[in-house]
Amino acid sequence: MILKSILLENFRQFKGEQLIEFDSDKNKNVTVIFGENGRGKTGIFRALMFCLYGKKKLSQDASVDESELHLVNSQELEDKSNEGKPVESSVTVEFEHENRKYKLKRSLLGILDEGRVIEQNHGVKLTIWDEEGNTSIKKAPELVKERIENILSPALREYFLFDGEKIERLTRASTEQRREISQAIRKLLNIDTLEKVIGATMKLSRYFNRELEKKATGERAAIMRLQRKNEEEIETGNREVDSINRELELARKEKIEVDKELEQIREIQDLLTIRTDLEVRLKDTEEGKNDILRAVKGLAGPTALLLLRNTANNVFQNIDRRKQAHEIPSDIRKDLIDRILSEMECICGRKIEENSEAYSRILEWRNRIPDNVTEDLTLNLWRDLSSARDQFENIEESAIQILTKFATLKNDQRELERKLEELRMKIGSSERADASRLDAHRLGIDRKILKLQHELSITSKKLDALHDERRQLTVRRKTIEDEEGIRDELTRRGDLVEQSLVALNRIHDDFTAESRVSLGDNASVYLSDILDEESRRNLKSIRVEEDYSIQIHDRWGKPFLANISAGQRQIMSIAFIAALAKAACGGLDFLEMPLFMDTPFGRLSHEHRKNLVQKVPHWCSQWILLATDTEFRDFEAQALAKTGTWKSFYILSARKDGSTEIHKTTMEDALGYICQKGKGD
Amino acid sequence: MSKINQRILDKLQDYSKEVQEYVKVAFNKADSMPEATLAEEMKAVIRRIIKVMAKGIEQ
Repeated sequence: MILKSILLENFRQFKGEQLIEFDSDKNKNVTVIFGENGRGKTGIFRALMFCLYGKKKLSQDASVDESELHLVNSQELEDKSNEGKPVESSVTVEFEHENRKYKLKRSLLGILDEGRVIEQNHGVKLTIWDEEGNTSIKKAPELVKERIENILSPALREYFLFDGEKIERLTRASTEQRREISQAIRKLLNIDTLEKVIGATMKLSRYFNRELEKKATGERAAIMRLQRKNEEEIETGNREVDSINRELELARKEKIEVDKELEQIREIQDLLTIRTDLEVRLKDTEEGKNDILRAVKGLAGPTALLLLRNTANNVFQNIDRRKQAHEIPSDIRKDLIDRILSEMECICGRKIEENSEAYSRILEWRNRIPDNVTEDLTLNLWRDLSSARDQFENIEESAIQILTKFATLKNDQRELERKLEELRMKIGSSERADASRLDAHRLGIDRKILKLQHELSITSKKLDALHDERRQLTVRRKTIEDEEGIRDELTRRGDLVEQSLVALNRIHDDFTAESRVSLGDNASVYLSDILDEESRRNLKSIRVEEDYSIQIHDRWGKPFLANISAGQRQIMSIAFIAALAKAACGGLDFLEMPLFMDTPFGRLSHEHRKNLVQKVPHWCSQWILLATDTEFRDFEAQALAKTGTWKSFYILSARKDGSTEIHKTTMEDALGYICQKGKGD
Repeated sequence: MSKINQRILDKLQDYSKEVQEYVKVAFNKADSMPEATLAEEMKAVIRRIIKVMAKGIEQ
């Protein structure tokens, strides 16, 4: 398959009609599509997948609900919504395959209904031109699907048209990865077909054995009965193996889920520690507040006295003032004045006339002087009030201190409660997860896996023994038939089936093992081509293990996958994908398929990038590279230019309305543009 | 026939012509039918191969 062009019409970010023509000359086979994040590189990858397979979702959309994924350009939808008209969106891909030309157009209709986007398929049309120039058209979706899948089956497409997510996923040591690689290898190498032939031959073998058993006599009949019993046991054994494998798969999946939950718990572990600390502090604050409230109760009596403070002060000041004026205690005693008034004679001997001015003054004086009891009480009151004034100040100071402390604690409490609420929001439902319960559950799964693996090993050994017995029974029967000269046609037919079955099983085992080795060898060659020098010294080969997991071996031949960097993993994946693609093309040295890579350079070092851009164009018939401005800079562009294989460069840039425009330039202009852009950054 | 099928069939060289014929025909038919149908179809193929074989022996 050689991609010629892709025409996008109101698809995703691309408003109106926009065209990309892919370079496919033997010597100029690289097209670079360049854009910042969000400009639509993956939109182009999505458009290709949508057009070829009607697929809306990519592997990176695994968690996205398909109904939320919209392909029709949203700007155009907005523009047309006022007119109440639907928007047609389409992708047209032109390609060549085995001397035929193909033009495939797939359309969608979209409409904006009260802010909700509704999309529906609007047909597909495949036009084919054969070598003689005859044209045929297919519009039935099933026929189009069949034709396209014959050219590039869905099981294989991901090894030619892949995104960064795919690259990442391949090197994960998981059940999914093993299953995915196993499926890819089986599909690529046609092992499915081989197994179908083996299955049909086994059916025939059982059929002929039953037929022959009906006519057999003596020892031959006894052996045939044993053969039938043996076959039944093999069938039971196979069913047991299938069932154990299914259980194993479920257990492994469950373990992955538990690990994910545990990972989440570990992530929130820090938050949980902070939360516990905050909760302790909140409890302390609450207790502090309660202590203060108890202290406030004790202050209730004394503080009530503060209500009398003004009055008490006034009284004190009044007495004090009189005391300062020597009115209290009086210098002249009241009984002396009373005696002067009764004798009407001053202490100097002068007579005092009644109603005289002196008499009036003495009377007035007498009235102003308290009696002794009152004077003593007043002085006592003055002393008490003087002492109370100090008490008032102490009580007030204590009350202020307690109330200030209470206010501070209350503020602290509010702040702690706010922080706790924030944490609760962050922790969310994970709070419910119980790490120790999960750990125990995980341990249980591990035990179950071990038990199942043990059962699998026992059943497999039992099956091996049954297969040995089967071979021995076949030989014994053949010997008897030869000795007795039994060569009727039914026997000869049964013999042919048995011999074919033996041959097919051997071919299956040999071919699978050879293919694994060959895939590993090819991947190792590609790996060596693109690894940087330092990595190349240590990482020597890629191997596909018996369980179809990928492993990388170091210079001492030891498994090293767990120790390689993210960038090295990415390089290893690309090498393996290239090897798979090569196998899909029947082991040809040159792939007659495009390699369509969406942002593959994410974690790669400069040297790895340089090696990739220099080598990939020579591995395949066509390389379409979708790259961001951060991964395809002057350095990578110069390295690619040096290969002489790069011709076209497409820039995805933003229009004022937010949609994306595709500009085509030559490689020469692209080098200038990238250099300028690099300086600008 | 695809290059991969050819590689599989290349491994048949150590087996008898009848086995080679059986596997070749089965492979050609396998892509277009399910396993049970293939088994039924192969009964007639086996009959034919055995007849040809018998003729060869007679000659």
